[in-house]
Formats: sequence, structure tokens, C-alpha cells
Amino acid sequence: MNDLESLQSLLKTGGESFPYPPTPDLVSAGLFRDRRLEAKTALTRSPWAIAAAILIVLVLGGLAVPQVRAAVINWLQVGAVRIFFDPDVKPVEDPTPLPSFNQLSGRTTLAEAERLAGFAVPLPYGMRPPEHIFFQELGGPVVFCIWNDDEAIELSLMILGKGAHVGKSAPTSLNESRVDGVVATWLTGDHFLYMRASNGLQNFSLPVDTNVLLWQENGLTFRLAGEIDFDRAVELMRQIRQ
Amino acid sequence: MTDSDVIQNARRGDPAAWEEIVRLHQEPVFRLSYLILADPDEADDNAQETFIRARRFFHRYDEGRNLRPWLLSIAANLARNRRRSAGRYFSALQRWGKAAAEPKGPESLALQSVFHQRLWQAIRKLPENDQRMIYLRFFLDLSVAETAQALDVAQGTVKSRLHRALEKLRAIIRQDFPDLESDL
Repeated sequence: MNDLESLQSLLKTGGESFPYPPTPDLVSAGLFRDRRLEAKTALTRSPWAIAAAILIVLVLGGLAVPQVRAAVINWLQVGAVRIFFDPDVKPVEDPTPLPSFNQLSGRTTLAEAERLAGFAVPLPYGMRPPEHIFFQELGGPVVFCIWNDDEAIELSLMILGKGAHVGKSAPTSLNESRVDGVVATWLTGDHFLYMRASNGLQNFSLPVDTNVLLWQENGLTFRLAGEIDFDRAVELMRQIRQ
Repeated sequence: MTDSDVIQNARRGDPAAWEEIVRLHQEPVFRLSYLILADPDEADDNAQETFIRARRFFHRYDEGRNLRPWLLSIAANLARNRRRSAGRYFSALQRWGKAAAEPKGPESLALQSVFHQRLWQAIRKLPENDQRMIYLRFFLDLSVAETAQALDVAQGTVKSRLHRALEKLRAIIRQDFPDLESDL
């Protein structure tokens, strides 16, 4: 038996006899939690609750509407991204489900994407170069930068240029804050991203199960997504803005 | 009632079917959460969250595949987020305050085995993905096919990544855990 076989045997023995704490009874506890969560989610997704919360932020914080435009009844516009709070709203017709950004067409190089988009693509300086770059026309130029962690997506940066637009529905929570004077919108909870190709022939929906930070600057809308917390997202945003 | 009946009923939102799913899979879900988070309370929260998410996104579950790896992939992803999230430290702080006022329960005595503790410490020095692979394959005894499903990769990828992970673990044991080497 070689070393690796011995190690496998050691892991099997250790795994089988591992002293776990007793498994709690999740049946009743889980269902209780679920009801609470649904109540919380329903409140968070209520258009009136969100509109009221935004109004309070605007009044108390003196936020002067500008970049994050009007909080209307059931959607909020952040640059090129329209966020719908009603999970039943589908901003595009008959979308084709897209399992991952990695399945996008239009894979290209950074230089070519910049040429096609007509704008420079700023990347977070603390990250390695992205594994994949895609270019799409979604009413306007959109560049996708994807960092893969093995096969899974570790981080994605989507930059939407003039005329581009996408929809989202419906994040569990939405919070606005200012990062170095720029309004940043933080979305959490599983939701969907909807995209409509410029040729009018293809609509896509993509499930999003990561947190998302949105902001706009110099006519571009930035969408940064990954399994990251708010602090890390802000750190990356700052790196991109430098 | 067969597994397929339970899943069909769960898909229709039948609470009894969901209780059955939780009852059948709570142990591996909790155990994987515990292995990743190393805290019974956090693991409990994570396991609950796993079933909440599973119920909410059950329409994404492909019935042609095993349910357990699907649930374990949700548990692992949530645990990874939880491990990275700042909120965890607040929860830990709250629990610390609570624990200081309470006698220690049996959980705190669970890791009396030096062997298990050292082995776990060695595994925890691996990158997250390698840890997850080892937990699924050796601790939860998933087959290569089930591990591949839980990690959403090809079976060949599981084999090659597992091989690399074992090589890394062997190097870690040699360098930092020589007491475990006698078991090899």
C-alpha cells in the first residue's frame, strides 16, 4: 500500500469515527425558521415598504436623488439596471435560461472587448486577470469579466455602456450607501438577471445566488457579483475605481 | 411512500413531504456544515438555512439526480459564505457572551480524540475546495459520482482534484503533523 492509499484509508477511518456533535432536530426548527424568513422576505419585497424605506433614506440622509433614480412603486433604476421587486415580473419575454455566465457567447480578449465597447475596462488591481472576457450587445455594449474558482465563478464584473439595459427580479434585500461619494447599491438574496440581446431574437435569464454591488460612474454601470461580503465588495469597487 | 413520491409531494409544497426530506437528510447536511464551520451552533443555523433555500428553489432541482448531493452542495455554498461573512463574528460574539454564563455542554467535549482533532486541523489547512472534496468523499462517504454532482464537476475532475488534494494533505502532515505520519 503506497502513501496515498494509506492516507485515503486514514481519512476513511477518521471520517467514519469522527466525533460529531449530536444532530439537532431540524424538522420543527427548520419549518419555524422558514415561516419567519418568508414573513421577513415578504416585508422586504413589499414595494410600499421598500419605497417608504428609500423615502426615509432620502429625507434623513439628504440623498439628492441623482444617480440612483426615482424609487417608484415597484422598481428601482440603478444606471442601466432596473430592479423589480415583484418576483413574478419578467422584464423580458420567454427568456432562455442561462445556467452561468460561462455559457455566454461572445468570448473575446480584453483588448477586443474594449475596442468593441468603446470604453476602457477597469479591473480590480488586487485580482489576477480574469479567466474569461465576453462582449455582448444588450441594447448597448456590455463587457463581462469572469474570474473562475476551478469550474465555479468566483467573481464577475459586468460593465454596461450607453444604451445597454438589463433587469433584475427580485433580490431579498436592497441597501444603498455611499462609497467615496458614489452611491452603491448592495443586493443580497437569490434572484434573476434578465438580458435582451440587441438583435431582439434572444432573451436570457440567469439565476444569481451571490451578492451584488451596483454603481455607476462616467456613463457606465458597474455590476460586481460574487460570494463576497459588503466590505470585500467595497474593497474591489475601490480598486476598480482607481 | 417512495422517495419519488416524497419529492413529488414536496414539489407541490406539501409540508409533510418537506419534513420527511429534512428528517432523511438533516444528519449529513448538519455534519458537512459542522466540518466546514467548526461550530455546532453555526452548523445548526447553516443546516436550517440549507433546507429553507432548498424549499424555495426546489424548482431548480433535477429529479434525475440524487437529492442528497444537491442538498449538500447548497449546504457547502452557504457555509462558505457564512465563513467569509462579517456577520458570523457578531454571532460568535453573542454566543461567546452566552457561553460564558453557561456550563459547557457535551458538544465542547466532543473532540476529545486527539487523533481526530489533529486530522481535522491538517485538513483545514487545505484550500476550501480541497477540504470540501475530502469531507464529501471520506467523511460523508459519497461516491465519486455523488461528489461530482455535489461539486457540479465531471467525475474525472473529482478524481484528479482528489489526487492533488491528497498529495497536498500528505505534504501538510509531513511538515506540520508528524504525529499523524505514523498512521500512514
